[in-house]
Amino acid sequence: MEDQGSARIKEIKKHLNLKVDDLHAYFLSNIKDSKFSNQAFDKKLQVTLKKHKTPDHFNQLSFILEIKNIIHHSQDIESIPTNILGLNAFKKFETCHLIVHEKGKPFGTNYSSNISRDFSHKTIAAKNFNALFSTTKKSKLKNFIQSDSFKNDLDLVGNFMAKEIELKKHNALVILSRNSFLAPTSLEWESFYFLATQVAIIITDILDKMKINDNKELIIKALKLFPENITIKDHNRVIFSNTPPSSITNSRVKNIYIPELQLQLLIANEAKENVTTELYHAQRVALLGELLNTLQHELSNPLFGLSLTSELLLSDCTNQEASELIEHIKFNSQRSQTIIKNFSNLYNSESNAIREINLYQIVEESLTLTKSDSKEIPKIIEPEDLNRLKTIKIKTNPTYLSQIIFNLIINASQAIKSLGSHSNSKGIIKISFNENANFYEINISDTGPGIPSQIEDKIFNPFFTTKSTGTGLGLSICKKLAQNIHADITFKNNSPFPGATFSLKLFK
Amino acid sequence: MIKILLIEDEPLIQKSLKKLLEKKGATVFVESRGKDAISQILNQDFDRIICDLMLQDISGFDVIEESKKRYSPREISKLFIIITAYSSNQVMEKANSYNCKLLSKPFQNIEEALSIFLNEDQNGPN
Repeated sequence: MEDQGSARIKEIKKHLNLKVDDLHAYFLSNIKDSKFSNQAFDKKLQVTLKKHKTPDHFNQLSFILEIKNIIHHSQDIESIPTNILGLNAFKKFETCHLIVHEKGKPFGTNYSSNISRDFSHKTIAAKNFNALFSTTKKSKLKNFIQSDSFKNDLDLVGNFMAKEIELKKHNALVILSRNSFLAPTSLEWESFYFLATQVAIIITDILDKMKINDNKELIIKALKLFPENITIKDHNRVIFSNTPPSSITNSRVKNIYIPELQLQLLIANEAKENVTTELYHAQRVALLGELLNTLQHELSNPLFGLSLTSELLLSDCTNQEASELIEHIKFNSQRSQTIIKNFSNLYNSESNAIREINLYQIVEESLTLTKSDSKEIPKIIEPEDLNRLKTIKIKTNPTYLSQIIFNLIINASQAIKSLGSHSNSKGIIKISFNENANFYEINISDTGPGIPSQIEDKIFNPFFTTKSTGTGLGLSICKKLAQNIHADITFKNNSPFPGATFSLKLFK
Repeated sequence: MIKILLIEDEPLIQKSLKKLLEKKGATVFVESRGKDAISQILNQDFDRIICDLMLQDISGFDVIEESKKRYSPREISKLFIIITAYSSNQVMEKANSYNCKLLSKPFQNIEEALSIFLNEDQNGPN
């Protein structure tokens, strides 16, 4: 128990360490309001005023106040174009675009507003954004005429002013047009230039805030989903918990101090029904998919070599017995190649969708996958069931279905093995098939010890296990996966015969 | 007689393909390492170069890039046939950029693959 506990704590620490910086940012921002204060803005404004030569009328307090009061109060990027059109200095202008692109992303966002203050945002392909951005950047006058090349992205006609904004992780463009062919005056242009410097400040703040929020959401989600009760304390103040405080009993709480964060992490080591297994499951599937993919890549070449060589040897071979053996090598190397390819497709996230599959094929593949775990235990499918299975095609998620069958067969063989050599009769796994108007049913029977009545209602609970090395996740994952594919798992003891039968109902 | 350079580092594939091609009357030179292959390509004339992508030292794409010192892109598109077990989209895209024929390993039909390798008057890519 102790070992399992500390392994989980290690895992949680690893989980947290990955995001230490983000976590720190999050908890700091909890204490300190992340919205920039008025004072901070004033300071930034002063700096830009000093840095840039300002045209005369900027010395009028009204313009600065306007920018400060209207642009500064933009809570999100979407409202900035409308706010710009609301400025007195640009009251003759009808269309404003603010296009923001995070460097390296395939798309940017094009926020715009027009004379009737209808604001909208659209995506813009990085290619188009970059073309517009570099045209703007290269231009000295920053004054353009709408042409066909920008037709789809800019909702304006005639002359427009554009100014690029370069930030650390983003590039942005401010575009302003009065939808006429009148060129802007030099005063308008100067005002526009000054505006762009202000917009740069505001969007930096908003983007930073968005980034922190995104990270926050990610961390909170991960922590909430963590399949243990976690509470994080800063000194004695609880700053995060994925469980109501009353449900944690002190005797079971592990208390760890994380020096990197100067925070206390409390983990309640309690198997609760609401503990989610999805995180574990996702990790397992991803790992398996990766592993199978590597295996396919590493094995497919030598296996192809084998089948090619056997083909060559076959064409030269005159000895009947040797030919048969070589034929056998050829057949088996091709079979190995097919098996590994099928499995890697099965666990490939790209093919992880609903597909029409043959039920027999899934059973067969799952059986192959369990071979090493249940080598000595014979598995029987009645011939008529087998024939019926071969004809049935269903639409489902083959990965999930195969995993359920896989788990049930592994469980069955472990149940049989648990009897050890004390058992008189040899264990057997029987796979049978039923169907009616509503569902197909796959039954997996073992000849193990069966399920004691006192644990019958617990066996699908996460972390419930009777095996010394079990994680207690197998059946809870099966149940969850079955729900996902609109199926149901039930079980019954085979009494008076030995063992238990698990039934998977796939609704039609 | 067609003179082929086969660049492939999996010994079983290399030996078998060499034998199979020789049976069809081709003269086959083999290389396992990309760097050795490059010096062959720059110093000898071949009618066809069959090149695996994942070699021990460098990639098949590197071999093709080096061959540009001697051959034009058009010549390369006719000379080279790429064989690969890793036909991901990125690999396919890159291979297509050379306009070469590309065969995925394992070959679905060995006879067909051999005739593609031996086709002397092939008019470039399809």
